[in-house]
Amino acid sequence: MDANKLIEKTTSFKVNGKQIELTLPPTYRLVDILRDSLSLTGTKVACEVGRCGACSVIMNGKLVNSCLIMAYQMEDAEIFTIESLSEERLHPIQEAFLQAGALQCGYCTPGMIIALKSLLDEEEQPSKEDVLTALSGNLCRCTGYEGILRAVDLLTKKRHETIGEGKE
Amino acid sequence: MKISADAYPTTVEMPRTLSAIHNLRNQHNRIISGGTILQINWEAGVEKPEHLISTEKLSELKGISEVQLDGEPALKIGAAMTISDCLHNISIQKNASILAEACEKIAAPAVRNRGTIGGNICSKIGDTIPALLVLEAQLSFYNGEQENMISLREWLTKPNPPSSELLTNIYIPIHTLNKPGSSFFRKIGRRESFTAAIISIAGYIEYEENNIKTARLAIGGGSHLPCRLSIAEKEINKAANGIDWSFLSQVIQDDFSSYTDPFITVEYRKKVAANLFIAWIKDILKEQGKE
Ligand SMILES: Cc1cc2nc3c(=O)[nH]c(=O)nc-3n(C[C@H](O)[C@H](O)[C@H](O)COP(=O)(O)OP(=O)(O)OC[C@H]3O[C@@H](n4cnc5c(N)ncnc54)[C@H](O)[C@@H]3O)c2cc1C
Ligand code: FES
Ligand code: FES
Repeated sequence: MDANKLIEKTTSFKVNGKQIELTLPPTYRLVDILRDSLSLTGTKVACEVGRCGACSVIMNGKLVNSCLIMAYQMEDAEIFTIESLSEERLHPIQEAFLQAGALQCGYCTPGMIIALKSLLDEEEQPSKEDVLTALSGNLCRCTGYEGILRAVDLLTKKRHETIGEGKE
Repeated sequence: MKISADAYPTTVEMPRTLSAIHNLRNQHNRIISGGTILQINWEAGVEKPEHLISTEKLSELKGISEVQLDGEPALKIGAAMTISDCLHNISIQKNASILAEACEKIAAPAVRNRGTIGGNICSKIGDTIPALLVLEAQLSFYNGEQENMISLREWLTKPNPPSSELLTNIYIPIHTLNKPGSSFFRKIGRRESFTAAIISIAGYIEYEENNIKTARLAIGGGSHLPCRLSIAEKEINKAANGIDWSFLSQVIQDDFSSYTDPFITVEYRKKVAANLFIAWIKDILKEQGKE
């Protein structure tokens, strides 16, 4: 193949509410597009094969590993990354993580938070089982998960209170 | 912004109908569904194909419904349905609960949202296969001109199924499932560390007047080519008046061709398989008051 050959395939999609158009090779990965082309480096990359969850984003309402999504699969897609959660102030999930000391290096945290966001978008009051399933694709090598589960407890308790008081 | 295509030289075709597919038979082409397995392979150094044919927008590969197949009720599952779609489908939960159980044991939600049942089957090692084997699934393949049906069991025994054949739908007969019977699915693995399953097994037993009338046992998982354990099945089927458990255990172990890897020996895998099957059959007989 010609060294400088470009595949002129323009992909149009939305990231965090913003319409984007990029000319990309069809198998270029979403995680690289986010980090390299759009400078959205909150999404992390580690295992690159769908095992660690560090690269999780929400695409068309579903949790996905952005290392396993290719440009051709993103035509007209709507994507939300970790950056969408705290545009003005921290999201309640992020606050709960801080309060519970649920992070050390923090590398896994954006993926964990996105996985929880996806769960809470679908299920207002998830059970412990639901939470464990939702986080089953996210690996943390630092905290031992206890802090993370504490954060989830704090968060769901807060949710129950606000729902109970009819504040939502 | 433009990105050099050097590292990504693959072109992709996204047909909307079967008749719009170009060159299904070209050897440099590859069918892709969720792409989860293909991308793992590419990361591991397998060369990318020149051209991908995506099943994503093929309407003929979408949907889960109850249909008539040769005058009998059947569940029709589009090959491009994701593992999550199958896991949450009410009709699958009702008519083929062990398929839903198998789906629940595959990877984590984010992978299940992308990986398809068609890709799982065509990988030939997917965890849905043992469940589909005892459910006596039929597969429909498009060869570029027409669709042909073949049983999953027969398709698995073919030496190298042509990768130019596109799996369109999976059919599961419903009538066999409405008879008095029990089914089960178990995956033994170490999911936390994301190693491949040690084994995945599925069973279906039908009874008549509290005696076992039909038994179907299947095994797969890990790198096993999934298969039915037909000799062990015969042994159970003929044993209306009592089963010789240690003999059955030996038959299951002999009937299952397994392997040793750096973590687990062939003997261990065989023993686990036999123990799981036997514990399940004993439980059923106990429930039926036969033990
Ligand atoms: C982190 C991780 C964990 C996983 N864990 C499990 C697990 O526990 N159990 C398990 O079974 N799998 C597991 N998988 C593998 C995989 O995700 C699933 O098997 C999935 O169902 C594959 O579907 P796909 O659509 O992504 O397949 P693809 O990668 O698109 O395709 C797989 C193969 O099937 C062929 N193919 C795809 N669709 C068709 C079709 N319609 N007709 C003909 N050929 C076709 C492709 O050419 C390719 O050879 C895991 C994957 C990852 C990334
Ligand atoms: S980098 Fe995508 S799941 Fe690990
Ligand atoms: S805090 Fe370091 S990987 Fe989770």
